[in-house]
Amino acid sequence: MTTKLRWFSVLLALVMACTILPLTACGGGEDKVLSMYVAYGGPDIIAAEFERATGIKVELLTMSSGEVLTRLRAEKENPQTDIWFGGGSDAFIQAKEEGLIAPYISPNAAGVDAAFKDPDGYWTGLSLVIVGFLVNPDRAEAQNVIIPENWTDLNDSSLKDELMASNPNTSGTAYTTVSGILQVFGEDEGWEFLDQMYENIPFLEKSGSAPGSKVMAGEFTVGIVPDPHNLPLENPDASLLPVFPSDGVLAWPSPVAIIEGAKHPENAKKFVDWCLSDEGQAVLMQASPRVPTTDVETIEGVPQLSELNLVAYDHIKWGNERERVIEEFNNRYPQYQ
Amino acid sequence: MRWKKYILPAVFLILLCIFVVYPSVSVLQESFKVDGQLSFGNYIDVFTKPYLYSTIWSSVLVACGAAALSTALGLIIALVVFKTTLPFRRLFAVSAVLPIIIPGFVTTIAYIFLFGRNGIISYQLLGIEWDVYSWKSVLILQTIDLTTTAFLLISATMVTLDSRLEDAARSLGASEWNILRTVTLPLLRPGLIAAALLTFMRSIADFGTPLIVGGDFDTLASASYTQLIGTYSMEMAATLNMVLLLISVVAFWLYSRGQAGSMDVRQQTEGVQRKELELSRPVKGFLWTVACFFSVIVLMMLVSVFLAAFTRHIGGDFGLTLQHFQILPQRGWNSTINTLVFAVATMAIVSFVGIVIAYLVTRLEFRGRSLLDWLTTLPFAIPGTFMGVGFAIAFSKSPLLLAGTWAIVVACTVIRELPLGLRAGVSVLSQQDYAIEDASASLGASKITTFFNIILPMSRPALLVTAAWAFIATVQTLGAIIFIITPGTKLLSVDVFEAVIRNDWGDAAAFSVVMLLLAAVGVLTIYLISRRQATQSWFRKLITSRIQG
Repeated sequence: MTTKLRWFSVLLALVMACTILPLTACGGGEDKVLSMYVAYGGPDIIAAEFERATGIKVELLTMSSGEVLTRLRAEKENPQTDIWFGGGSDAFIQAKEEGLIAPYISPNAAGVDAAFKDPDGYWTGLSLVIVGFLVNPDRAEAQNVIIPENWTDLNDSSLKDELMASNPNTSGTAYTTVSGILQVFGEDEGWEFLDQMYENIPFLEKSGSAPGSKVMAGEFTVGIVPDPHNLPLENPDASLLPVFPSDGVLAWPSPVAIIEGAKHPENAKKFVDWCLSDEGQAVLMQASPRVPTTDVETIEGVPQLSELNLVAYDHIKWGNERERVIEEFNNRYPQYQ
Repeated sequence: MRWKKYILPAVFLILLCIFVVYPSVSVLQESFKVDGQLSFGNYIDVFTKPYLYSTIWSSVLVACGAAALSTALGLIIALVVFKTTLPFRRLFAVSAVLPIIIPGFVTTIAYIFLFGRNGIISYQLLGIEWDVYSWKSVLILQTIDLTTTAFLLISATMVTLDSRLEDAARSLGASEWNILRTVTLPLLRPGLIAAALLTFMRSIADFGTPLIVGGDFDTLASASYTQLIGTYSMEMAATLNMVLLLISVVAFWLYSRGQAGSMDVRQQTEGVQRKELELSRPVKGFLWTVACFFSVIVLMMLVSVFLAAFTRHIGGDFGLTLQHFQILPQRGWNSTINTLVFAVATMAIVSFVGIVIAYLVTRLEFRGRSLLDWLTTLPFAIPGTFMGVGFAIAFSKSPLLLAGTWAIVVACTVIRELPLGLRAGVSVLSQQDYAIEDASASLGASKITTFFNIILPMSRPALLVTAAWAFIATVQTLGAIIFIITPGTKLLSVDVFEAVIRNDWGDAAAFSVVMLLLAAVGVLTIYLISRRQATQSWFRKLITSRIQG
C-alpha cells in the first residue's frame, strides 16, 4: 500500500515535471513546425498537403479576421504565431500600419495582379473573395419570401427576420459589405440603405461563414456570404442557390502574411512560396474553391472574373478607413457591438 | 529549524500570489485605464451606455431565472428519487446527473438540432416558429445544465434529513402534503439556498450559451468576450468582468455564510434512516411528470449530439455519414492529445496539491494559515472569463511572459480546480483521528514520512474524487482558457467552440463526441481504480457534497 503510494507520488512528480519541461526546452534551430491563425476555408486540407510537400507540421487556430487582429495586437510583445492566412485585406492593411506583420516578397508573387498585393510585400493576395447572397429556395417558398437579385432587394419587407449577415467588427465579409455599399451608394445614402437592411436582420453572426451555414440548415432564407458558390459546390444535394447581385458584386483579395517577430520565419516564407506556387494554388482551389488571383485553372462551378459585374471596390482606401467606418457602425447599431 | 515549516506554505503563497492575485489586480488596473490614462471612464460608460448597462440586468435576470428554475427542477427530481417509490426513479437520477459530462456549449448543438428555427421537433414536426436566438434559449439551456448542480446539492441535504421529524408530524396527524410543506421543505432550506446561489454564480459566469444562442442578447460574460475579440477593448472587457466579479463575490459570500450556519445540524443527523412520503396521487403525478419530462429532454439532447455527428447536414440532408470525423485525423489529433495531457496534469496536480494544502491548513500551526486557505478557495468565486482576461493581461507582458506555453494553460486550470481539491482534502482530514498521526510521530517518523505513509493513504478517496472532477472540468473548460490558447496549445473544447461559431454543426458534434468519450473514459477509469467499497461510498458521498466544479 505504502510503496504503491510512493510510486504514485513519483508518477505525480513526473507529470508535473513534464508540464514544466516544454518551457525550458525551447531554443536551438528552427523546428519543422509552423503556427498560424487562419480565416480561410478548408485549412485542414491545406495544412495536410503543405506538410506532405515540405515536411513542416502546421498548428492552427481558425478565427475571423477581426479576431486575428485582436490577438496580434495583444501578443505584439511576444508573437505566438508565424502566419496569418486568409481574411479581409482591410484587416491586413491595418496590421501593416500597426507594424504587426513583416514584409516578404515571394519569388512566386510575380504572377499576382498588382491590385491584389501590397506594394511593399507586407501581404500577398492568394485568391479573391466575392460577396454575394446564398438563398435557400425551399425556405423561400415555405416562408413566402422573394428571392433577391440585387442589393436593393434585400430591403424588401418580406425578408424581415429571414436575412442573416455577419458583424463587421469581427468579419471581413461584413466589413466589405458595409464599405462596399458605402462606395456604391455614397456615404449618406449608403448608411440610410444599411439602416433599412439591418431592420431585416434579427442579429449578426461573428464569423463570415456562419450566415451561409444557417441558410443551408434551413434556419434563414437569405444570407450575405463570402463566395456564395462554395456551399452549393460542397453540398450538391442541398437546397441552395448562389446569387451574384446584378447591381454589383463586391470582391477583395484574401491574403497571406508573415507575422512580425515570427518564431519560424524560414518555414513561414516556405509557406507563402508554396501557397503561390502552381501546386499550392491547386490545393487552395480544392480546399476552398475561390476566384484565383493567379492564372490557375478554376474548377467547375467557380465563376470566372469576367462573368461577374464586379464593383471597382477600392479595398486599399476602405482598408485605411476601417477604424472610422467601424466606429460609425458601432455608433449607429450599438446592439451589435 | 523553526523556519523550516514555513518553506512549503511560503512556496504555495507565492504561487497563489502569482496566479490568483496578480491576474486579478491586472484586471482591476486595466479597468481604470482609458487610452493608458487613469480614469473612471469605463465604469461611467458601463452605467450610462444603454447597451452596456443592459448587459448587467440581462445577466442578473437570466441568472435569477436559471437559478430559480433549476433549483425547482432539482428539488422535484430529488423528491421523486428519494421520497417516493415511483417507477423510473433511477433513470431520472441518472439523467439528472448526465449533463455533468456535457458542457453547456455542446448542448446548444443538440438544442438547435431539435428546437431551432428549422429544428426536427419544433419546425419539421410541430411547425412552430419562434425566436430561438434570444434570452429564452439562454434561460432554457442554462436551466438544463444547472439542474444537475441543484439536484446534487439538494439530494445531499435530503439523504441526511432526519425522518424522525417527519414521523413526529405524522403521528400528530399532519397530512403528507402538510409534512412536505411544513417539515421536509424547511429542513431542506440550507440545500435549496446553496443550490440557488451556486447555480446563480454558474449562470452568470457562462459566456458560451449567450454567445451561441442568444442572438443579439448579451450578458456581462458574453459582452466581455465580444468587447475583447471584436472591438479589441481590453479595458472595457476588464471593466465588465469587474462588475461580473462583484456580483459573483456577493453571491459567494451569501453562500459561504449559509454553509457555515448549517454545518452542525447536518452532521448530527447523519446515519438516520430515510423514509418515503406518501403523497396524494395528483401531487405525485405532477412531480413524476416534471421529472420525466426533464429526463426525456436530457436524453434526447445527448442522443442528438451523437446523431448530429453522423448526419450529413442538419436541417437539409439527414443522411448518415462519417465525413465529420475526417477532420480528426486531418488535425493530427493535436487537440485531443493536448486535452488528455492537460486534463491528466491538472488532475494529478490538483488532487495532490489539494491534499498537501489541506494538510497544512488542518494540521499545522503557522502564521498566514487562513490566508493560504482563503487564497486557494478564492478562484471558486471568480468567473471563468475574469480569470481568462486576467491571465491574458498578466502573462502576455514582461516580467512573466508565459503566454503560449503549456504551463500557463495548466496553471489556469489548476487554479480553477484547486478549491475543490482543498475542500475534499479538508473534509477528509478534519474527520480523521489525530491518534494515528501522533503514533507515527512518537515512533520517530518525520512530518514528511507521516504525510506520505499516513495522510496520503487515508486521503485516497478524496484524491480520487478530486481527480475525477478535475479531469472532467479540464476537458470541458472554455471561458477561462479561450483567451490564452495558442495554435500549439489548442484544446478540444476550443475546437468545438470554433466550429459552433462557424456554424459547422457536424464538425462541432464530431469534436463533442470525442470530448464526451474522453470525459466518460476518464471518470470510468478513476471509478474502477477506486473499486474498493470504502472508496466508492466516499465517491458517492463527495460527488453529492457541496462543492461543484
